[in-house]
Order: sequence, then C-alpha cells, then structure tokens
Amino acid sequence: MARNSDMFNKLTDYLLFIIVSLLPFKEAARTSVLSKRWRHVWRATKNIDFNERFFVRAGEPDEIQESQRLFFVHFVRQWMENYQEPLVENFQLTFTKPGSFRDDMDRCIAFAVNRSVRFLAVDFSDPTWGEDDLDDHAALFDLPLTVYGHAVLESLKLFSCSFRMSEFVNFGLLKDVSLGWVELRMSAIEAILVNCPLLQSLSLKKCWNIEHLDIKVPNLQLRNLFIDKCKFLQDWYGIEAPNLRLFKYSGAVGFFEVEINREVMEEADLDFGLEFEFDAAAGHILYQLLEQIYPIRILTVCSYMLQVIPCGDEPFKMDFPLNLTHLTLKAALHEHEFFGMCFFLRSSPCLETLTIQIGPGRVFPDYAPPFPLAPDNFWEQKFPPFNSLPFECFNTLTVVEVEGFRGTRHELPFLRYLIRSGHVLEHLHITVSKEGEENGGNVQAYHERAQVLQTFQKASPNLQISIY
Amino acid sequence: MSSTLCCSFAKNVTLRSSDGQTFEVEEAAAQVSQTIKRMIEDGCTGSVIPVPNLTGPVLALVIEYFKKHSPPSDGCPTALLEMEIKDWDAKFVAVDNDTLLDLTLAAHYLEIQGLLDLTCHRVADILNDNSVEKIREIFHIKNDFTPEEEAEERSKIQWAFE
Repeated sequence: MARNSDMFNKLTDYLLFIIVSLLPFKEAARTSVLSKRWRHVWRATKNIDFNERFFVRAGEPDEIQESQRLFFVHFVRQWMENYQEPLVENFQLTFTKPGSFRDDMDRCIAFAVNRSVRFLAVDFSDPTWGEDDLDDHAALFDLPLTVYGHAVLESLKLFSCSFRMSEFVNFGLLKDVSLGWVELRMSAIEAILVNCPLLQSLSLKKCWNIEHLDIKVPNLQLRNLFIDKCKFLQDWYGIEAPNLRLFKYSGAVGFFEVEINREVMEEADLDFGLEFEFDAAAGHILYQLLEQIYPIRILTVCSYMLQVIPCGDEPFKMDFPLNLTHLTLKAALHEHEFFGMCFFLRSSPCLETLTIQIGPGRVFPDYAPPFPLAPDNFWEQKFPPFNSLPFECFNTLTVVEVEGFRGTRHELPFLRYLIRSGHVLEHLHITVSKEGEENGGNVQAYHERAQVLQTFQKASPNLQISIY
Repeated sequence: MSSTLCCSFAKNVTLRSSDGQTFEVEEAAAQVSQTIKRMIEDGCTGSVIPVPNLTGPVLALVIEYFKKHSPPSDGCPTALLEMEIKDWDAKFVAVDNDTLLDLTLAAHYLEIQGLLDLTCHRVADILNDNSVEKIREIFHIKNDFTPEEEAEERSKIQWAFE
C-alpha cells in the first residue's frame, strides 16, 4: 500500500460501523465530518445517547432553553426516522421536561425496545436538583408498559421514572439496575433482588421514602452496591451479600448490619457528608461498621468519619487491625480530623498507599476532641494518642498521593511527619489545587509551598517527590 | 475421524500468507479462528491452509495471538491467568496504526471475536481521544469535502462540537 494513503481504505464499511458503535454518541457524530465515506456511518451506531444536555445549555433563560429543547426533540425525531438498523445495543435518553413530550418519550423507548436494546437508561431528573437538595422530587415519568415485557434487558437505569413493582417480573437477565430520584419502597427493592437472579450491581441514588435497607435474598449474586444520598425512614441498613465486592455508601449515619464474605469483599467507600451535626455517639456505630467490613483492602473515608471515629469507645485504633492496603482520606486536613487520621493509620498495619483528597470536608464547630488537642505541634509531639512508637504502617507504606494541595497551616506539618517517618516511602505525589484566582486561589503560591517539601529530612533514601 | 481425536493435542497445521510465507502452529491454537476451525473440520488439514488476505508479518502476529489465547490444556482459566492475558492483550495492540488496522481486518476475516473486540476498541479509543483534524492526520484520511460541504456537515451536528 502506498504511503500516506488512507489507512481505513483496507477496512470494510461493516468494520467502520463496528468501531463507530463503540464510541460515545457525541464522538460518533463527530466522525461524520472526517470525509465523505464517514458521513453516514454514525447514523447506524448501535450505541445511542439522546441527551438533552448536549443541546440545552445550563444557566440560559427558560425561553431559550425551551427552544433548545424543541430543537433537540426535532433532532431525535429525525434521527429515529432515518435509522435503518434492526438492533440497538445501548440506548440512553436524558430529558428534563418529559411532561410536554410524552408521546416523543414513549416513541423513543419503544424505538429501543423494538430493536432489542440490552442496555436501557432513561433519565428525566432535572439538572437543577442539587446533590444535597433535601426535597423529595416526584418522578416525572412512568416507565411505559412495553418495557416490562422486554426480557432481554441486561442493564436498566431509571432516573425520575417510576415503575410498577408488580410488573417487574420478566427481567431475569438484568445484571445492572440503577434507580434514582424516585420514591421507593423496600418491597420494590426486594422484588428486584428476587426477580433478577443474575443481578451484579445495584445502585440507588437520591431515592426517598424507603422504610429501611434490607438487602437479603437467597443466592444473591450482587457484587456492587451503591447507596447515594437516599432517604430512609429508619436508619437501619441490613446487608447480607456473600458475593459483595464493592460497597459505596453516601448518606446519613445509621445502624449497619453487614454480612459479607471475607474472601470476596474488597472495597468500601463511606461518606457521611449528609450529616450536619456532630454526634460523638456515632463513633461507636461507625466503629462497628468497620468491624463488619474489616477484610476489605481498599477504603475511602470522609471528614465526618475522621472526626467521629476517635470519639467512640475505642479512641486509638481498631481492636482487630484492618487489612487495608490502600486508604483514601477525603479530608480538609483540619485539626478536628487529626485523631481520626491517627486512628486509621494505627489500625492499618499493612497499608501501602495513602491517598489524601483535600477538600472542604464537613468540619463541626462544636467538635469535642477525645483528648486535649494542640494542633500546631500535633505531628511533632509524643503524647498519649501517639505513644512513642511510630505507626506500624510505616513499615509498608510506599506511596502517598495528595490531591488539592494548597500548603495550608496543617498540610505541611502532616506531610513533613510522613516524610520523616515513612522509611520505605518511594513516591510522594503532590497535585496542587487548581483553584484559580477568581476563587481566591493562587496556584503559583501552592507550587512554591510544595517545593518546601523537598527540603524536609527524609526517612527513606528512595523517596521521590513529584509535584504536579 | 476418530484417529484425529486421540492425537489432536499435538497436531500442527501449516498456514500460508498472501506473500507465500508459511507458519506451523498447533491445530488447537489455530482454532481460535472460527474460519480456520471450519477449514480443519472440512478436512483441509492434510495440506497447507492458505490465508490469502494476510501478509506474512500480520499472520505472524495473529499466530502469536493464537498461542496466547489457545484454550488451556488443564481446564478453566484462572482469574490470575485472565488478568495476565488482559495485560498481554493491551501490549499486543499497542502497535503502529497501520498494523492495528491490518490486525482488525485479519480478526474480521479469520473470525477471531476476541481479537476483533480488542482491535476495534483500540481504534475507537484513538478516535475518541483526538480531534477531527488529528484523526485525519493519524490515519491519513483525505478530507474530500469542499469547505462548503464540510461546513454544512458540521452545522448538522453542531451540538457534538460544543
């Protein structure tokens, strides 16, 4: 073949179609301007994402958004009319005001179902509903009846779209269910668990009015469970999932009863950012949760956990050590978090990687530390919570990653402590905060402060400090 | 065909590329290709199997893929083995783009589903990560639109460029 001739000449149109079907919808569309040959390839893609957010810009006045939305509806109608393929693999529909376009929404969903779609996602949630919004938003659409008979579905996502639990019986092949922005009863969750024996992943986001959580059916295959800012009537969360590998929870503190298989369970991410008050009693509750999931190797904890955990019955460390090799702290590196940071470092004798994502955290003004707190020389002194012994994890800790570094009052002393103590440390990766001047940030100053880290005395001769 | 069964595990076949190079490979490994599998089942094993759409260097690569992906002789692949193969696959398709497309075509022609998925995903990743102009440059795509035609095509999908 001559040099510089079009490499795609050797591929058939069918292969171009296969490749374009692997692209996200937007990127697939862009291939249409590559050359005349590519012009229509994307119109056959099996991976369709009708997403209003591509067309309707956030922050525009209502009437402009309305006309952008109308343009989007026309685009969708025309696109479906031109579509010739018999099969669609992945179909996503994101639309904010389905009420005015019910027929269109029904037609879209029927279009996908008639083409044997296997991955179906419909999202009618409003982008103005905030993550921390406490209002209950009634679902804006009902799942059309045609979907309930569609037994080949492997993945179903319904956001602000209600469904009939009694009809949820044909989805024996579903592996992945994601529900969001909808009123949900525990009986519906149970129906899903019972009727979808292959279910591997269940995700609940901003669901409300759930009595409590009780994930427990025989032969449960579930591997991933995500609970994201849901509202429960009772704060009791029971999970009995022998195949669970990943548990991600974000929400209020509650009484957890988690039964997992220690051979399988790998990772947990616990975020109690929905708690708005400091409650020392939560310390013991969270301690018990950690006891229940102790075999995990990867854990992410939040600012709330760091403040509360040392206020429980065991202020220093877990009675039985955690098996963590990777710990992530989503923290403000505020002095209120210090005892909690010690707690986790001391409880993780085989830690290899420590990641610190510095953010605003949720710091409580009425925080009562379990011991007298001298923040300015906390990481220097030898006093009760520290003892005189360094943490066992320094025998294994090789990588420390810091994201959002600004070099504030407490960041440098803590990092100096790690550099001075981590005698097998190999890498310290510092990513400075990208917060620009418009938000009162100063990226250049952050970089300069990060350079100071290079001057600290290093316990490990192999330590490399990288600043990004 | 009962005699082939008893000694099939060590049996080799010879594949010949478009430019006349021949390669010997275990029959079980070559059957990763559905096309070759059918030819073997149809009794073509006695002679050399021609693979006229593939040049020698591409066929050599495909045979490497066969060897890595031939079914293990001792039962099910373990999770560790699967991970190792995944890493190997990623390295295998980290080739120049011309070769990548040759492999894509080879996978299609020889019906090697795993290799087809692998190469198509790799090509899609490259398309995904680059601008229209850059993609044309990478794959030597000649823009045969007039400026007016291109402007019109772009205006039809303006949303995809925002």
